[in-house]
Amino acid sequence: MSLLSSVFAGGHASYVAAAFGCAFVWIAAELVLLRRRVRRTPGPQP
Amino acid sequence: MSRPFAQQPTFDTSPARHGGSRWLAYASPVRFYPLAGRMAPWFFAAAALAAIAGLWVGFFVAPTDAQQGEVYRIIFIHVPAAWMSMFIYLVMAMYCAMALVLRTRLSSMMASALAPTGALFTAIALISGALWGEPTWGTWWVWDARLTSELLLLFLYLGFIALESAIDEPRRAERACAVLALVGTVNLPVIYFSVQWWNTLHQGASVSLTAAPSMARTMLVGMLLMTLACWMYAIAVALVRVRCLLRERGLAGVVDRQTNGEGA
Repeated sequence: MSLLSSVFAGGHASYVAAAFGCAFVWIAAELVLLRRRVRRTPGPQP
Repeated sequence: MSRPFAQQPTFDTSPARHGGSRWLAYASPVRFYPLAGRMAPWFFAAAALAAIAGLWVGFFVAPTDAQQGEVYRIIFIHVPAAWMSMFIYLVMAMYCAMALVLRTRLSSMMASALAPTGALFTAIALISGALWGEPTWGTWWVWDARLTSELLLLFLYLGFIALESAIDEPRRAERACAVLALVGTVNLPVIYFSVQWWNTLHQGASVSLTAAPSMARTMLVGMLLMTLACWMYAIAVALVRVRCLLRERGLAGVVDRQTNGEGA
């Protein structure tokens, strides 16, 4: 945990958090949209 | 991600039907569809495991950088995203070339399935780069060769997606998008070699295939683990998306024709 503490103490925490947070939110959004599309798409007809 | 269907299609997908070639048989949408459904969860699991390991190494094991301090840890998302943005475009262009030459519909659909994820990684690379640039360069953005060509890559992805949705007839859309994707490959060497060809604010490559990496081993391990996570994620999402495309574009029709003996 000491490394995480030093990230926050270094004054650049907001940049690191924003970069990873942004990536996480966008990937989560893609997964939510994909799940919606999977549910919306009709299944194959045998 | 995908729900199992109550009733799976039953039809002949034996390799003998596809000229005896085991691998070419999977170019058939009908044969690929269930395979993609079985593989996607494994790729999602691999992506999650690699991401957990990569983040652990990146935040708890890798040392502080002597020059940049802690802010360099953005490298663990920025570099994998930037690599994937170029790699996905290359794979997409290869699928498009296969679609044009071999006229395989699955290739076009794979390209379409990869495009949104490629655009996502490009956007992540640009945003995380800006967030890294502000504390280290003193600016969010400069119009230097590396950044501008990466932005152009994002426009190529968005153009591909927009062109595909603008043309109603899927076959025509696939051909138009394939041409756009192939023309856009010119941008890839520009992105990769821009830091060598021009004087840019962006630093040179820390990792290359021909030289030893100029970074600590733990930093490299963390970065490679995150790249593996992004790679597995891209494959998993593409597999799920291509299954949607197969259903939207009439997999049922393909099954009907095959069961009637007319071929795909």
